[in-house]
Amino acid sequence: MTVTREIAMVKAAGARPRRAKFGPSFWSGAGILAFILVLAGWMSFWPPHDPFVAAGTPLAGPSASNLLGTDNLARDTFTRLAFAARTSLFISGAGALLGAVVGTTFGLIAGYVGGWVDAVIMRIVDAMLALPAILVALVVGVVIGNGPLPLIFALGLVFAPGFARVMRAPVIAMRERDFVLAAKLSGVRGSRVVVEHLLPNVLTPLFVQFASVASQIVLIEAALSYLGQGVQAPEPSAGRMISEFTRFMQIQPLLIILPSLVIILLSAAWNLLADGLQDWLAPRREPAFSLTGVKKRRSSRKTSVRTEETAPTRNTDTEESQQ
Amino acid sequence: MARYILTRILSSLFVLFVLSVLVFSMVRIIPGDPLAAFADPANPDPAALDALRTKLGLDRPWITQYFVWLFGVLRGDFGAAITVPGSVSSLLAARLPISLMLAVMATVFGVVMGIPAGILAATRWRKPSDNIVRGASFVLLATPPFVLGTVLILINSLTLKLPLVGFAGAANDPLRAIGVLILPSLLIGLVLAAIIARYTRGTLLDTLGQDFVRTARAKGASPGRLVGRHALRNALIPVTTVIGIELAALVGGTVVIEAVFAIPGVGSLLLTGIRSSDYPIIQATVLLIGAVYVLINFIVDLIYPLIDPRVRVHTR
Amino acid sequence: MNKRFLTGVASAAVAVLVLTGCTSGTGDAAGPAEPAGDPVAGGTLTWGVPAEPSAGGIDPMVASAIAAEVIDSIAYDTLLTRDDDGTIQPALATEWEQVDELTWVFQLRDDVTFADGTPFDAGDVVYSFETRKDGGSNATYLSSMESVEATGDHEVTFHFSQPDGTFLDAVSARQTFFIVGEEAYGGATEEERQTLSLGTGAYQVTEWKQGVSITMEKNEEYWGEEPYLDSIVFEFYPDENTLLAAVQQGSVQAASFIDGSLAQQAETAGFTLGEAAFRQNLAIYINPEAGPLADINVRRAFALALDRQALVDTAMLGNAGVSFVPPAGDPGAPDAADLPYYTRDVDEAKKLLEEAGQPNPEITLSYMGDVAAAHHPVYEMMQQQLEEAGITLNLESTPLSEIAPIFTSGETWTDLVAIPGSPRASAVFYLEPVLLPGGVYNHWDGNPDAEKARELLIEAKAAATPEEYADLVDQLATEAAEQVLEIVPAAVPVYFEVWDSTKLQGYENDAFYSRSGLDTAWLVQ
Repeated sequence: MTVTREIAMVKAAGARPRRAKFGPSFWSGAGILAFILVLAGWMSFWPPHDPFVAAGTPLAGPSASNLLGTDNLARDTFTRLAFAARTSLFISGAGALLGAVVGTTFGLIAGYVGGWVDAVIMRIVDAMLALPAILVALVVGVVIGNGPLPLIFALGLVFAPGFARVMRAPVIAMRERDFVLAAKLSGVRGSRVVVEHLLPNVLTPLFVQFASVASQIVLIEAALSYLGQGVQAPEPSAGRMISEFTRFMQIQPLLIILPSLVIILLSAAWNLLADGLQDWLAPRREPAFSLTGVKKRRSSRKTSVRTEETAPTRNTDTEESQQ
Repeated sequence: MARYILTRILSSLFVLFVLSVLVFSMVRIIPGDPLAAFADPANPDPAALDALRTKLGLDRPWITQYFVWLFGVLRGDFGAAITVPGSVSSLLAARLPISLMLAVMATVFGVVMGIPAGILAATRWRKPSDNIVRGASFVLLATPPFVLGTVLILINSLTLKLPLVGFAGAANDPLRAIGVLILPSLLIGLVLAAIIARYTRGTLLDTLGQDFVRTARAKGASPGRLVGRHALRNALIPVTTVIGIELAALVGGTVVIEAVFAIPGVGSLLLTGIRSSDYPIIQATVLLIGAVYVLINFIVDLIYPLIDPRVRVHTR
Repeated sequence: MNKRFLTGVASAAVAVLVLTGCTSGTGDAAGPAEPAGDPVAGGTLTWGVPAEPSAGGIDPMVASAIAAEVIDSIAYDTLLTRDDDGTIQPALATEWEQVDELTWVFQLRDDVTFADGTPFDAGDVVYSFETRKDGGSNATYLSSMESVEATGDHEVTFHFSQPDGTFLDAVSARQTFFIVGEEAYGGATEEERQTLSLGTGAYQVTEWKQGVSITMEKNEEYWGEEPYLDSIVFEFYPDENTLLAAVQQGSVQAASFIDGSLAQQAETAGFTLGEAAFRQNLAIYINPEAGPLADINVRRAFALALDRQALVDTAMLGNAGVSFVPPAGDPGAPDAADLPYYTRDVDEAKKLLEEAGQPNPEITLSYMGDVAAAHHPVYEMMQQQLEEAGITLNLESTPLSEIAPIFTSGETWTDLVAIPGSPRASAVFYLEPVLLPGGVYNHWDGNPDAEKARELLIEAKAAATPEEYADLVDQLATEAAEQVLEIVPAAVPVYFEVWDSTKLQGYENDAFYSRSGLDTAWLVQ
């Protein structure tokens, strides 16, 4: 992808006035995440059952003591699912954060310094982006081991190039702008220019990218655990639960329905957050007309409008890569 | 223009080179032992394995191994697999067409379902149809495809009993192969459609918000003509980029679906290679997948200036 | 709006799945085999398998994976075979005699030809055994064989350097000493040996599509009764849930499962489930050089804290058996429940721990995390059971490729490692790598706890008669259990076999996963 194409996209998007209100997307996404966070915290301190110990009859349905039933070793499903959600939330948040930090650093450097530094960094980025996320995560995971921390490291590494690319384009576009030149002329140091002047203006794509990447990490972690390469037993993981319990599907379908719902919920929550952030930070200009032919406009609707995602890069398009 | 093409070619080659080094070193750091598959756990014989290690050249320094491998690759020879009889090239040659078919079919489904959905959502902005499309995209994007696949297969096993899984009978019969691949590619295509729908909706809405559309409308153009003739062409340009990238990402990115449906594609070959630490397989497969991606991106980069006049002027 | 929609879709999904769950309970249980009709010739049998031969392909001298052995036991023959109850039967050899302590003589059939037409004679047997001893797989069974010679066109004599109590077992095992042709095998390329079969068996491999299937066709030159089936296609389904789906949708007429619960579901769907012999120990090897397990009382406490029957019933859903060495399903294996420290006694365990001065030891168990998921509940349940005696079991799920260096290059491990064993031709070979010097699971050198067991092992290997051998093996098992030299929570079958008895008739599975029943089975047309 040439930088010129990216610049064209950014320019086409144009500058938007910021709206101060958050829309329903943001609140529902943030709400779900907050709920899981609270639940996870509560579970860590006061779990209804020990997730590693038998607590009833195996493969039982929901009951008073086991709200969501039990698994094949009579462990309480509710507790294990809550732990799995906690793990997933942690991995997705931390992984996206790591990717953001590493990727943004390189992206800003590449964009601001330019020249051969830029070229080398971007070629390495291109090389890493040439591989589907799940494959890189698989291979890296095999190298550095399984479990939540290596997984965070692996996934952060996987998504860092995407951040680098996304963060680089706006930097290049703004590099030549007047206020940057003015700062440089008055002797402000390069790194300070970056941090104080450029960074605030590139936060838009950063936050959106973060939430979007986090939602993908949820799915990739689930897929890796499904394949046996992610979070290991006996640590609960929704993806691994699905692969372990598919063989009980005909006996106790709840055992794979519930983990699936957890994954869907968490991934959707991050996505909602991403969309909400995007709406808030860069609302869309209203189209010239609506094809339904009705002219009524609700003026309050002008506040929560959508905008186009930034240039097609590794951010949202790699939801595919964990098939 | 020629200079642009040349730069792109060189850049792509460099990317491939970096990729080969990355892949080679990643694989060597893997702690597993490719010769494990030769050992009988109840009856181990380390001496024989050492001899085998030397025979396969696995005890030579990494640099040597890398260049031997690289020169082989440039000649088209990916070497012999360690844990599977035969050459890696023949393995890949058998599996690549299947993965390509899966990727192409999924992309076709995605485009056929996604673009109309996106158009519908954009033109019925803020109306129920828009919200349905957005909501469905949401759920699809958040659902792990192996869940959908497993559930569908299960329902089929209990009710219709159609031959949905199992590639074996289809290996020689392209028609039957397509039949076997329909369900998995449909599932992937659904998720792809969600992505494409979102992009289409987004770019179309942006285009519809621009001045030239307002002008055309003011001049009396009918809505259908506006969308069809003016807005759509502009809007679809970035979408084709996305389609290209997705198609490239699908080749090899379908590991889990291949596992669920027992499809012998490139992704499951890589998984097998990783499980047994078979270096030649892992290296060749990752490199191949990367090369496909780079190639498709290269083609997209070439086409893009042709279809988007705004960018043409700026080509380096 | 989005969230509401999300909830709506999720509810619909749940409804569909619950409905499915409800209806699935009413499975059609056609159950046990239908009465067989008359045999008819012809047809292609499709058989789904969960594993593909890997290293060494199907070369009978190189490949040791079970996936390869299963194919080879159909395509190649051995000198002798054995029934499920252990009775030895003739195969390529018609008579066998132990002339003296160090010599065995076999009379061979004279009407056998290899699939390529070359006649079978004593020279082929000599070639097979010499090639195997010289770096082939299972060479360890020939460690005391000095030489083998053709003492007639159809007579072979084996000379041993010391009495070998294991030889008769090994030579009558179905997967140990495959016979290949000097011409056919000797003249083939490495790739041919790995991808095709060159044997005397009822069906020969004619095609192998990597990752897809292996096709075997009727051997026109077969020395036994002409097989009815024209060909057999083994299709690969690495994911066993998918294999179950293939079974239920009718794409395969027979299937092998590692996971017993899936095999049971196939049975519920109307397939016949063959009786499974528990021939694969979920062996856990001990490294007593450091850590809590160095103390014999801790080891005994560990053994006493396990409720093996519960592991079988709950963790393995009944698809396993209580076992020690040899595995419970090996012909002639004793009832493991009678062994010392095999009956659960948590109080006694706690007492022993007190005596050892380690009331709450922490022990690590590494196991293969990415394969054989069906076995994992055993380890997880062990953790629960040991907790009750105060023992903390730390489970380390490790990829197979990381555990492999233990048996490829003799790497060491911490405390315990779980490596499911494969069936051996003779009982002593289960403990050989554990007790004898140079064995990869041997960390007992110099440890007085293992001395008596080692002596018994060496004695058994050199036993002069089968009775003496059996007796020594019993003593060895008791001693090994007494000193807790190895832990075996349960034994599982190598494969569960299911087949559609409305289509495949005349088939019964055997205890040796050799599918010998295919020689005489037929397909309803």
